[in-house]
Amino acid sequence: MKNKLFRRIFLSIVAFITAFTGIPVSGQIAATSVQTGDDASVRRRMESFERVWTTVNEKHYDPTFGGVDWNAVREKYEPLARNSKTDDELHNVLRSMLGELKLSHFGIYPIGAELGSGAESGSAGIELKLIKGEPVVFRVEDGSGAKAAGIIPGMTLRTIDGKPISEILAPMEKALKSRDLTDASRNLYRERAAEALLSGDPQTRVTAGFSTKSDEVRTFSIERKRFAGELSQPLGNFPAQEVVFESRMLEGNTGYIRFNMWVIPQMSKLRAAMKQFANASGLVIDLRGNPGGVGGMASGLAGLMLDQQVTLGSMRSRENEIKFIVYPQSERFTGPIVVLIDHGSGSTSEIFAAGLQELGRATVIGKTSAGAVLPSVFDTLPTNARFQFAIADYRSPKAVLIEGRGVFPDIDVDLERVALLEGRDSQLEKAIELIGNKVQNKL
Amino acid sequence: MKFKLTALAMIVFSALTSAFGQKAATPAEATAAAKLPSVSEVLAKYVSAIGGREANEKIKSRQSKGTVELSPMGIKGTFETVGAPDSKSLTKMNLAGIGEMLEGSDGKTAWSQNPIQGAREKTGKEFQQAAITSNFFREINLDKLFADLKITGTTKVEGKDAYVIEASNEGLPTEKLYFDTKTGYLLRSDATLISPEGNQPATIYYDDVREVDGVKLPFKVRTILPQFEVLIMTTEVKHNVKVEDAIFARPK
Repeated sequence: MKNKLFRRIFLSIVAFITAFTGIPVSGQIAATSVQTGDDASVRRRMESFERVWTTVNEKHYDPTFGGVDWNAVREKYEPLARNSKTDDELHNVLRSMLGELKLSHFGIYPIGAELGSGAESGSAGIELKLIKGEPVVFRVEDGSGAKAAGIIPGMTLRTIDGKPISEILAPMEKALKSRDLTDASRNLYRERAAEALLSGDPQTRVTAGFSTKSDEVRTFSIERKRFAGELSQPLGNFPAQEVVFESRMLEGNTGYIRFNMWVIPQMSKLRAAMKQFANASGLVIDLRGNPGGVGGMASGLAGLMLDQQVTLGSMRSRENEIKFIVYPQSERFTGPIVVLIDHGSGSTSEIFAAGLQELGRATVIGKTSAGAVLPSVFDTLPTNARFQFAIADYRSPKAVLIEGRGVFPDIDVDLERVALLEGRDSQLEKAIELIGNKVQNKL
Repeated sequence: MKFKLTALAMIVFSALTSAFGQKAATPAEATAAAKLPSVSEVLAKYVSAIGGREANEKIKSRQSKGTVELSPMGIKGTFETVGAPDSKSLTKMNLAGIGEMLEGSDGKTAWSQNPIQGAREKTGKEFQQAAITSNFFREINLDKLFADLKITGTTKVEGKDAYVIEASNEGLPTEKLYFDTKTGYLLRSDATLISPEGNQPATIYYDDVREVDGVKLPFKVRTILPQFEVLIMTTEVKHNVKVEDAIFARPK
């Protein structure tokens, strides 16, 4: 029977369909409520509730649910689900129910809230970083409305439509106080919420006030544009994602690679870039703001820089343990490597950073990562919402649980607003300096 | 590849009676055990059910195509397999959003390649297991491929009565095979898949058996792994197509 041939191929799938991003990729969830109260709608909502509760009950990697009485959780939330008048209301109930677990990688995403894919929404083209508690422009996309308006890195976002940012985000701050989150996660929520304020429908404009070094607030009218770049293919229930990739040679013959997410189309770009940098003195892999993606890609990239079959750690479910095995590939980079991380680096980025750090293959520079690294999969509920649930935990090669902790950088370096205004990046500068020193010490 | 021959008589004997020193069987168990056929009888019925040895041995290559679906993730794709004697096999699976994944064996080495992890060769126990899995005449040679086969009882598989046979080789995990007591078909197998990532338990159900060129093949196969389920639906089977040995070699 030829079907036996299939058995083995599934094993490799296990390793790389999981560990999708589990950190907030958007500051808001789109409202796509179906507001009907007919029997079919009620049945659909209760079926969705049942699916979510049962999936966690049967599949959650920790049979003790981290000390949470999951049956009691059902008793608490079932009446609320039954009383939901709309799908949105139900989804909020489900989110609250999942929130009882206090873990990343559990979520409910209505169709339309495409997990960070900017395919349908308009972006100002600004990436913000929280520096000393303030949302500071870190990157401005080429060809974006922000670039055209004259926004530059280092500017601080102060107002939207004349309203102070602190005032707009006050409700979120209140909500954050009641949640058990790491500092890294809190900062990430703040950043993403601020970025979301700048986003909206394509071909619309947002009026935002930014300050520069002088702290004088200048108002800019910024056009929001639809993402015009490459999109990944949907991976089953995991929607298409923007594919942003950058590679260039920096000073000191140092290769630099940055990509926005661990999605499959990045793999061929990574291979090409690694080949291009084969003779570079060193390599910087910039994972700042990279929320994760396909877990196995961490092993895939590591296979291009490690010369032995090793593990980047393992994920443990109720039934078994799966290791993130690195298979060394024939063409490998052998020079020094620096991995840049910050609180926006989650999931697969953390697997990669923790793995290479503990294996002694890379120096990690930046800030502590998100601590959101639970391998997960996506299901589609009867209400059509996507249900993300963790199926395993992740432990580093030295068996360190990264969820809720994050990856600690070897060298802690803050971003500096003044440096950004001068066109410099203090974390990247440290990486280049370190590689330079390593190369010099070798000579 | 050489495999140990099975001492069938010994297996049948040990399977039918409680071993010395073990708890004596209850009357009900003893009755059930007394009614059990021998391993060789179950396997002979299976070989006959899938078309017989002669018809199977006439097949010198097999090319199959179909669809694959992974749930609950909703990942879909297509597959193509080519198999030939001497443990030569090639499986191509194209999953939407992932790309082409390859698994192969040229009879001497077994390998895999996918867009993410790249290429690698299988070694050790993984290779040993792959050699058995990719044996082209596996179904008619189970008695030769496994050193130890025991019939352990009967059970229900999706409502059907089935004989349970435990098949093992030294150093490899035991596989349980469930054969329909009436039709003789293989209904289910419980295996532990070996890989560097870690051993994974898999429960595989076989269904929708159809005849192609005198041999019977399951056109629907459902594999349950701890993390997800895979449904394979075969849409096309061709036998004795010309196959170049080169296709089984590890890609450069």
